[in-house]
Amino acid sequence: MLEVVGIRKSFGDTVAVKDASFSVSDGACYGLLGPNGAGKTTVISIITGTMNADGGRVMLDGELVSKDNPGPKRKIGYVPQDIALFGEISAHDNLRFFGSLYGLYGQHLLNRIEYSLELTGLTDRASEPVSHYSGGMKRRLNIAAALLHEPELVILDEPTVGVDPQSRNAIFDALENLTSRGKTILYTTHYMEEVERLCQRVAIMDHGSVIAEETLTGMKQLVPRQNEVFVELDRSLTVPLGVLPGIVSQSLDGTTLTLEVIDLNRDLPRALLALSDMGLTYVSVRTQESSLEQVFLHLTGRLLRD
Amino acid sequence: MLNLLWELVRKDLRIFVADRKSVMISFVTPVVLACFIGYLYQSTGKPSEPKRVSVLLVDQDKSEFTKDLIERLDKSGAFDVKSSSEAAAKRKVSHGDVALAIVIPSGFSDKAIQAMSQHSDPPSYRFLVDPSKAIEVGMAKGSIMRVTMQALTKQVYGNMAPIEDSQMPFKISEESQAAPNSADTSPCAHAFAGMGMQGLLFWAIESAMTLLREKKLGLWKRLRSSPVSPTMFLLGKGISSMIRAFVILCVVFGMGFLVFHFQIMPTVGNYVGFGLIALSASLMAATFGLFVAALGRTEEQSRGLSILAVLGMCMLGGAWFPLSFLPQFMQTLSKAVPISWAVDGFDGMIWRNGGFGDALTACAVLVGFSLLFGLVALKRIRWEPEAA
Repeated sequence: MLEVVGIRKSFGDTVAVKDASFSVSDGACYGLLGPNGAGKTTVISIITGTMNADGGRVMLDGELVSKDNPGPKRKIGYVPQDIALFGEISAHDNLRFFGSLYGLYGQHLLNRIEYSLELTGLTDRASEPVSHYSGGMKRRLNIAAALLHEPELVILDEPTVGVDPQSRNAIFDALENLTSRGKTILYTTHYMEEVERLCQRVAIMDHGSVIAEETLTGMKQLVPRQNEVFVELDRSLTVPLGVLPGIVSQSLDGTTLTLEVIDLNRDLPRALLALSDMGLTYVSVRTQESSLEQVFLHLTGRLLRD
Repeated sequence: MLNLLWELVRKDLRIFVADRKSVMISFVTPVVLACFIGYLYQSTGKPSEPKRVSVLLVDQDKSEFTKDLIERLDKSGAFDVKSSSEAAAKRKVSHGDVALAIVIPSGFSDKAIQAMSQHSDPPSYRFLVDPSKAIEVGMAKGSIMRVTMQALTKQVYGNMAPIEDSQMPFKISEESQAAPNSADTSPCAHAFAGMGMQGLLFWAIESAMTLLREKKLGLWKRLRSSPVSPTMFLLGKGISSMIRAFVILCVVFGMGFLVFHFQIMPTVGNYVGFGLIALSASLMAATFGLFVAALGRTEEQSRGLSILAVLGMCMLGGAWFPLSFLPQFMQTLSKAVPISWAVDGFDGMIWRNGGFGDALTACAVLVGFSLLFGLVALKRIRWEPEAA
């Protein structure tokens, strides 16, 4: 559905995007992950036709996206990073205005407003001025405004910044509802747990370039040491523990034994069997797979939120 | 404690100097205004170059006395006297081009000499006056009385004769060139037109600031991601601003009509003309707002620049004081200021005996300025973010 090919963008001497390429297929939820200043918002601005790239191209359903081409813009619902709403007027009036920009009028517009308010849980407060809303409610309305015209592609630029957990969950529910109805979503964030919850495929941006693009599972496999296992023993040991088979590293802290394994299915059973052979009893086993944070650390040498 | 205080002060100073253009504007605005007012005071206060009041003289008497009178008026240094026909004089005073015209009726000198020597009924000057220029008219009255007495004394007694302190041998009758029944209210109507336009332009600045705030909030980005063109957005903004400006003007003039009892001259042409001028002035104010928003990058820059521009236009456009107070070149320059056309247009429809043609001229100029402001806004407005 969306194809981004080698786009570049500079502001004066500052290169915001050096080289960004990725593609998003129909009905997918695609995550664009990267730290602040990585160039995500610039890429999004180019995809939404808010600005033109200096080089490269963006195609939506085979049509070139640009500032002056209204065609692809009709298919996109854009949720900007800022709360881009008119605070002085009601949520209903805001939605009426934004709907009209996409050619919605009359009863159809009213129906769409009703649906969008319901989806984002704002029906009861629709007639209040937006300035009276909490930060989370504004965020949800910010999303509702992008869904009015039933876009095929919904682009969300850091939609949960500064949002309370309740509103965050409401936003996730709304997005999962959209994906279940076959909508395509492009989601940018620097919160990796959001991508892990929502997206099937991920691109990681850093310093204006896409440095990795994979499925979520494939991305995690980019980290060589990928799994940690925490084994809780029934007692402390008085003698040093011998080296367990198939283990990358092991450490003991009181009754907690921490193991690093490459392949859980292959290596963990062998290690647990060896513990039993040593006459040790474990009371619980907990695993933790590698996170996107670790992937980013592995790819760039620094943490995502540095 | 002192460190903390210094850090607090330093932070504000750094914020202040961070936007260099804004800093420059904050100095330039008071300097330009002070220079302008200072120049006016200086030029009116110089003893060697007294400001001359333009006076048209309609000499129907054509006697030795009137020749002498004109010479004396010229020599007084207070007047710039030009001869004119009565019709032309009436037209020029009515349009506000000169403050007054003095009509010396036929037989004036003979009757005045008789009145002086035989105490017969004195003749009367006819002063055709612009009621909004009472100061110039007052000055002229005093001077003409003095000069007339000198000229008459010479005619009757020769240069050596004393002037007796008896009855004045002539009278002055004032004829306001304002519309009937509007002479008393015309200064007030003029002030409403001037201050109304000033208020409208200051409102336009605020409107522009709202636009820039919307940009800062990211609303422009959202709007530009929709399939609607920038021209359409600007058109929408322009029309909504024009409607609001028109309502403001209606309320301002409505207050004047109700409280100060001036009124539009009761002809269809003047009512329609007034409405058209109000619409054109509203359009001009609306596009001026867009122009301001387009020129500045930040709210602070735009605010400083536009306040300077509005104050300058108000001074040059005659919103604060009559244009006749200004030096000639500034009076000429005022034609390049939209406020002066709007104020003149409103004056014409309310009390200056203007007609529908005058309204159309004012409208054409105001629409011209609107087009200019609108086109610059469309060309210069920065829809795109200027940084990542």
